[in-house]
Amino acid sequence: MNTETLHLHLDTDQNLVAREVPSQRVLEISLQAPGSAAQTNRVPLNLALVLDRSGSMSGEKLEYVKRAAEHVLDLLHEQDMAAVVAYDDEINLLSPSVAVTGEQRSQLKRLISTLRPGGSTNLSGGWLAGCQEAAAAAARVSSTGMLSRCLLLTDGLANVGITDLEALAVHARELSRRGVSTSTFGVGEGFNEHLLEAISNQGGGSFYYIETPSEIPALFEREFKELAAVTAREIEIVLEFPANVSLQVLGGWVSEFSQGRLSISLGSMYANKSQQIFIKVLTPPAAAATDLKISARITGMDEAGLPFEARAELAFQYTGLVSAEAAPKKREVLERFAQVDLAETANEALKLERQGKREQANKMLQQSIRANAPHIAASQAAEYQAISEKMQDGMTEADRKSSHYQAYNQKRQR
Amino acid sequence: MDNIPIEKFLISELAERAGTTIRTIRYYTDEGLLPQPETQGKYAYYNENHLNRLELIRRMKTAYLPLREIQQVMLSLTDDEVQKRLVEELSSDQKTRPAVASPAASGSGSNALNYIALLLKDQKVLRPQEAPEVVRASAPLVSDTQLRYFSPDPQPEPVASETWQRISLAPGVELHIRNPGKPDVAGRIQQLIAFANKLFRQT
Repeated sequence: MNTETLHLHLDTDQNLVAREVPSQRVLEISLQAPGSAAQTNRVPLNLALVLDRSGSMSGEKLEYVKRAAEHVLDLLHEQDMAAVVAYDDEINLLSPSVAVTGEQRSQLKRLISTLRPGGSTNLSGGWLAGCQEAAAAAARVSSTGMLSRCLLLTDGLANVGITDLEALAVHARELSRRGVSTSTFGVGEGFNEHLLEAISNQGGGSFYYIETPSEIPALFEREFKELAAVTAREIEIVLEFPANVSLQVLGGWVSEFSQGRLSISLGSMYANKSQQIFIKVLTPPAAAATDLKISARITGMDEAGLPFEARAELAFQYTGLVSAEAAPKKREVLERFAQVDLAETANEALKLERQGKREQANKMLQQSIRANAPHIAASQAAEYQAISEKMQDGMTEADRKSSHYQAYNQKRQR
Repeated sequence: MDNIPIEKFLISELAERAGTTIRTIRYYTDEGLLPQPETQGKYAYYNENHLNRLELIRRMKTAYLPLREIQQVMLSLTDDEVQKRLVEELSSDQKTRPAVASPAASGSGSNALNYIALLLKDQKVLRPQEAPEVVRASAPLVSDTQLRYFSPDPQPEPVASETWQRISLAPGVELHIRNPGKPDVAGRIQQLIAFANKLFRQT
């Protein structure tokens, strides 16, 4: 389907809620980004490539990273900007942000080819230097349509500079709000998948797990293609809830809830991309009210840099407890929800497993498998069952990463 | 002045107002970051000054100052000075703070560049021996000169707890390594891991 504008729709598994007691319902927000009108002129990109050159990157990994970075440069045109930062415990600005003209491209490639592996991993320093370059370029070039993103690649643990997950996630969110988003690329077995996912979730970008170095160029290309096809950006959904509604947003999206107002920031979406966001809602009991209305408003900027807006509404109807619970639920909503719910729980369980809380992690995952089993395919339940079994036996780093990545992709519908 | 009623809180009320936990308040009091509460019978009462101090601690924490430094600052400030600091910070940053505080001034007025600049400044506060200046390129492209934003600290800040890296060698078998390790050990650890991999994959 090729739509003209961003499409917004609200749905639930069951519109009827009980008067007497709180009811838990699933609220589904469906979005679809508009198709691209301009086939030839894509959005200009302002990229900062932040490359790990710590000691552990030596050999094959660094060679593939160089190749991938050079490949991305080949895909950029002269209206695009690119900066290259290499970091170990020191931050080297290989090149500040420049327009990717033919001449600059060869110069950039020459610089990348000189990269040699070095010491330990100052992830935050490298990342901030990259963001700084992108931000400086965005401030210099007053092209409104430019999309700024930092591509942060690492194979190791952040062990110099800011290393705290929460702190890095806050910075990622604040920088994304200020126009510089971040995608993260984890290579091999030495990085922290939860840290990189948090940076990309809060940073309005994507997370990639690169199991074998030969995948690096293809994943850089995927990121480039998704960026080049962006047709909606700075997307923000604001939902208004009546008083006393409790809720939980799934999927790790940047969200804030206060005084009945929930705002979710989605960053950018590429052409025709559809996305579901699920919210667990607990409706308050009500003796007198007949319904409970939820309104949603989505705003953002389209391909041409013009603001857009769309609205949607949904109402829950109050009824007696018996009829609210007896009414059939919408299976298709629950099926989509179950995928995200289970994936999210699996990621949380994996986080616990990494902290050494295997029993607790496994219990949590088992519970979620049982709860979601009626709505997911048997093969999918089996996949999570396999993760659970590995948890019990003890996981290798590769198990942790591939399980986490599988769940990440599922919960973000990637 | 004595007849102006001072608002008093119980520890739970203070925790709620300051957005922290009772445990944290007790910990800060034990560590001397907060003055002892006033006791009346079996109740302990806290006041505005405790609240101000908690707010200042929170801000310093979001600037990633180590607790020891925060402690030194808190011990050196009078109640009035604490309040003055809070007011000064507020007037330099008119916008309301975000729910999760970020170290730099936030709001639409400050862009990504300002944000990063403030963040790097905070980092410098954290490690004062660092090179003070951020060296920027004047030419659009620098070839041989590799720019350095800041060099690593030769004397790492003493940390409250050790950081250990866990490396899984095989299901149920882990190697624990203290970070940061000595550089000459790193190579041997790599060998150990390579050997362990070989060993466990055979079985």
